[in-house]
Amino acid sequence: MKNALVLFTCITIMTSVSAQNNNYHVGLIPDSLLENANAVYRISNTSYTRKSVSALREYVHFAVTILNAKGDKHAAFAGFYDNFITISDFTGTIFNENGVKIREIKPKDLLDEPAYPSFTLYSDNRVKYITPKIATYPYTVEYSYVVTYKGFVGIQPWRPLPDYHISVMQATLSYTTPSVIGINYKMLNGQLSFSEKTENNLLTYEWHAENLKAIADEPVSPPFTELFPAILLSPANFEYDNTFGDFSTWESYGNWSYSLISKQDKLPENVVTFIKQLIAPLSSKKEIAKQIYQYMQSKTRYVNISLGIGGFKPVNAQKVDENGYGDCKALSNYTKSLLKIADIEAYYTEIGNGTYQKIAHADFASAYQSNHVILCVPIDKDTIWLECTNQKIPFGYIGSGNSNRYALAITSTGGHLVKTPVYSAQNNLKTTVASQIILPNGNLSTNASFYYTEMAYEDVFGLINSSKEEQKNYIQKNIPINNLHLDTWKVLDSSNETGIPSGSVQFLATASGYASVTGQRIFVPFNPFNRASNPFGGATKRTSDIWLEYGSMQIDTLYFTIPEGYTPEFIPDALTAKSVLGSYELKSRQDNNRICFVRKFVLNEGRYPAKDYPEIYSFFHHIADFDTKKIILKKLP
Amino acid sequence: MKILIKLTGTFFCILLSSTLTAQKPPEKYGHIEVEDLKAIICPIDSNAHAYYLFDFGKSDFDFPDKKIMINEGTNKGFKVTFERHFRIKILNQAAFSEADIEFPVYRGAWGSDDVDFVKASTYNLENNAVVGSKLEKSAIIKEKVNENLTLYKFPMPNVKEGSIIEVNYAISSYITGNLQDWNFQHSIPALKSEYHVSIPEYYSFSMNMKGYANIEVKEQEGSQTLVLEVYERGSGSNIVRYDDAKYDYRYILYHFTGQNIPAFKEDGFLKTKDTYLSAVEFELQSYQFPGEAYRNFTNSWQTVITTLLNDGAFGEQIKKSVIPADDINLLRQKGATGTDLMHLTHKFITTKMRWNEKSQLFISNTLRDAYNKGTGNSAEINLCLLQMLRELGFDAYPVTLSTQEHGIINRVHPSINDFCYVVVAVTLDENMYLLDATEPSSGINLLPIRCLNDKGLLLRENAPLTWIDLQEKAVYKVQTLYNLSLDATDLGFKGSIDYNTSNYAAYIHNLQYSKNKTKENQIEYLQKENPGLNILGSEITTPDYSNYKMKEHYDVSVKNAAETAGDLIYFSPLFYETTSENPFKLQKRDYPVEFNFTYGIYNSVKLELPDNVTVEALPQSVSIILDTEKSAKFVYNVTQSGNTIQISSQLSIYKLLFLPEEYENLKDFYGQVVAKQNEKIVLKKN
Repeated sequence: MKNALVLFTCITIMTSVSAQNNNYHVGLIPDSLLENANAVYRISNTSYTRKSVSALREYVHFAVTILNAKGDKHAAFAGFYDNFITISDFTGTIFNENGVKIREIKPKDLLDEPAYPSFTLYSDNRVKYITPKIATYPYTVEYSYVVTYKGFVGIQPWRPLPDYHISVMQATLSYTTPSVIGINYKMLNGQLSFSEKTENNLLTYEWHAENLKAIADEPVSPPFTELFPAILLSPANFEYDNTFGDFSTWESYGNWSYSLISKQDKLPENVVTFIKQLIAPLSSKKEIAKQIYQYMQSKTRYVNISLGIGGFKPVNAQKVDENGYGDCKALSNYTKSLLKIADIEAYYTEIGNGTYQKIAHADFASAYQSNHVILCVPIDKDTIWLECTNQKIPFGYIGSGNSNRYALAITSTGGHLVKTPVYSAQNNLKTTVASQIILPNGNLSTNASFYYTEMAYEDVFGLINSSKEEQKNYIQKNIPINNLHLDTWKVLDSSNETGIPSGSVQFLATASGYASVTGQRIFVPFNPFNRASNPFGGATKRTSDIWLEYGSMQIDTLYFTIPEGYTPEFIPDALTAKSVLGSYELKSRQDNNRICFVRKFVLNEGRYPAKDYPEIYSFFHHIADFDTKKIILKKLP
Repeated sequence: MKILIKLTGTFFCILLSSTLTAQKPPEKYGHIEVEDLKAIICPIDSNAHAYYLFDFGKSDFDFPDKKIMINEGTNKGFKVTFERHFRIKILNQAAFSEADIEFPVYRGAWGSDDVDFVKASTYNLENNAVVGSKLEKSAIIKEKVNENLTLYKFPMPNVKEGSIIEVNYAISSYITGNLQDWNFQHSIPALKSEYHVSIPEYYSFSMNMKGYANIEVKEQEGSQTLVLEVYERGSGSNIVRYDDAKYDYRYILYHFTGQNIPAFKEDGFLKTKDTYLSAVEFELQSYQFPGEAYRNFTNSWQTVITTLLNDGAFGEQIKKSVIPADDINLLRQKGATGTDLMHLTHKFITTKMRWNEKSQLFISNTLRDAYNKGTGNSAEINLCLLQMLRELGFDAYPVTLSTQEHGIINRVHPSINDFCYVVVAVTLDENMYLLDATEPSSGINLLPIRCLNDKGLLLRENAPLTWIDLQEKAVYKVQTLYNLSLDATDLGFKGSIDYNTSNYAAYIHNLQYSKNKTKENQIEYLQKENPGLNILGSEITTPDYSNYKMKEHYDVSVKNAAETAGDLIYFSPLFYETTSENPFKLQKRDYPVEFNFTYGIYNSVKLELPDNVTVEALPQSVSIILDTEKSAKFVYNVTQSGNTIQISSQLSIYKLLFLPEEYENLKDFYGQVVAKQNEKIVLKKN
């Protein structure tokens, strides 16, 4: 039985593939490693040498054989650096399929450019890189280079298997450090061979992997960070940009973060006075927090400029107040400082945001698990969470990207792990109520209303803040009805009225040719708006678990008025499907010339074992089919 | 720079007379109207999230270094200063990114351009008074992107919904040929956009207006006097004042003004927005300073051809072949001639060299380097192809063109900058054959799709100017033949599907097939793209370059195509060839629809029905013509004979460009095609 985790054997291959023996003839790759692979790592060695608390040196040497065009991206070299990191001693060589050298890449061939995401205005992150273009496959590229760190807070996880559809012949990680300094480590998702030795007061850890087979990328899988083997390394004592810390535990990690934020909350007298006046008429703590939060939203915007320690230390509150902008750290710290004026304690809380980033290890503290900051505000018996980087989101809503995960509240007594809210199916509800009139020529006119609550609010949030024309264009493009033409439409935010994030979309529209007319019959799709699809394609086999990140629920009530002179020949009814991860039910009834459908579709978040795949596949296959069912109307003689 | 000394006997420098830069900017910095701050909607576009209150630019020439050393050429000469001053009103947070300002500062062989000043402020209304927040110098970030480019970036302070931001900066450069282009149109509306350019008579620039906005151009002439102090180096380190040189020259001042310019909105079926964005572009054609030789850059297309053919990074490279004799002989030995040999050469280069995805007109490395390394940009690969063809005795020439992304060529103002790419033309027996070796799947006279744009220029000296229409032969022709029989018990279809493609349809199919590499992958790919399709066997004939046709035959079974409703069975007659949705979704379109080729799509389906069903209903045949010009046609036929149903669908598009006025009709036409193709065949079980 195949396990969702990586299986690897420890067969030693005929020639010992040590770093010295660089024979890259493609024939030396075992067949088992060619299956499903776009590229094969022949060797992949990373060794760290810690010289002192702040001096770290990383030596990287790898060679990868690219089998086809999909593997080309693995032939690239990219060395990221900033003001504290330098890349040096670069060598690069290209070999043909026989392992014969065809050319060298020199350091001067490398391009050097800024490297930061589009939402960042500026940062000191840069990258030296090259992407060789080779005319024939397979070919092999070999690189070696040195990365020198002048102070660091963390080390990126080492994954011997770096991606899907890649296999690895041999990979090694070693870490050498003065015994007195030490290093913390954690092994994930599989056992790698591990050795430890101490010599001359130097401690060396070594991890080794061989013959890792390529893993195919399957849809609806857990993030690869949870599947592929990895070694996490985290320094106990470290130094970075003139700050010192200890990452042995989340508590001590929190102490370092606390040292960066503790003096950043001073605000000038006029701001203190203003806030006090602003909240004077209010009495409930929650109302006060809301007022302050909304004031902050109206006064600031998100701008990310990240340089050095500025990547970890928030700009002080006074500066944010003057500039009117900041990144997630600055804006959270600023909001915290404003709340302090009202004697409300808010905790600056680090969190990993998004599908691929979260604080995943309660037992292992390291930098790079978190990438974002929010506030955790205990008020009375509740916890109010605040996302401070968006001017429009409702008070207390932090969104799906921050949900269902650990977060680290930074307090004066260190870091404390807390858990953020979970969005299950009933917290991600989309309700549709729509009346349709069908004309004998197949044209449709509809009066449709959609209600979104809690997590579903994110589906309509962008629309709420768009212009009338943008709303119309978006709706016409995204509703799966051809030739949809909106006559009137309205998008509303009802979060204030309902007290939870909620919104609605309502429109009157027509669509020509919605129902197809053939002779005496009209074929009317019963489901104009929300059609389920089968995300698995035609795949019959499955290795990874199936993972639904969030639950969701759709309840649709759809009315169809039958045109005069027609009668229903067939009405889809009583269609149900059930699965370990959800359920679907469609019921219909006819009332004179109106047909009413009620459709309920639920998916539950969770990780489902691969052995359940046949049942899960069958469920999606059926519901995708159900949602295309049509009412057949026949002309009366 | 040498200057002819004119003895004038007059005194020293009058600096530039004040009339030249008397162009007062239309708005005074810092004078904000409260009305503008109070505005909550853009007067010309109720959907805008922000808009320019005004956008003003100015380019002036100036001669700052008044000292000339005879015979030393150290004087920097004219300097051009570009100043920009604009105000943007931010209506809501969706446009906050407009408040993150950025502009480029270039560096060339002469050194870096200078930023003379930068000032910026944000204005908000507080208690009915205008409150300004100044940008602090420390907030300006200078990001070095590479050796030649630095980006100045800064976020505006205190931006809120309703704020007005004001930015004013000036950059001066001694490379006066880089006269700043000006965009009148942006992704947000502009109430007013103005550009003033004053050009001394020594310079000749070509001016190219682009886009559809209504821009008024006014010209004014003036005169200017420039006085320079001339020095001579004497013996030792003595510098002796020689005399003054006085120059009277004329200048032309252009005012470009646009009012109420709408925001540019992007859409599909458009090769590049650059062609349609309202802007004015300048290119230096020639200059002549007194006493200096006349220097011509580009004036006529013939000059462009000559300049390119003599350029060190282009024409010079072709003169001496870098192809090793062994490789030439390898091909000669095959004994092929004519188009056969052309094809073998094309294949040789595509195998030997891999394109690095860069579309460039000039080479980056030497041709020899590129050839030996086996990789290069489009110029390097195709110039190698050119050399090889010439070595083999062909009459081969470079053809420069502009890719779809780069925009169309302005035929009226000859310029090298119009081009960004080169392919090869071979003339043989009064025919012309075009080749591009960046794409292995491309063929003779079947260039990659990015090249299907406008016309290419044949680079041949001492010959009449020849423009080659790159699109006239671009056709997409496909014939799909379904031959299926229905099994009433499991509602599955069994039989075969044949794809016969030619020209660009074959090119695209072949490109996909070579991406898939093997038949197994091809089958897997098709089964994934067409749910319910099961391929049991296949025969694939890839195109022969000379007759670019491809044939694919698949033995298939199809499941889940037919639906049941009681004792009725119904399905879409065209199966996977059905056009499922109208590609044109918007109500109105401001820009043309551009197709890459004309289309001839023919689908034929022959269905055998079992004995235990009867035909309940069949779609009616129809014939639709788009307009009186017959720009597009759709013919649909369904006939039944005994147990056999024959369906045929023919969709033809004869035109490449549909103007915005024609959009609605085109959209309607497609709507009818979709509706008809989706009509069902209804059967009843006996």
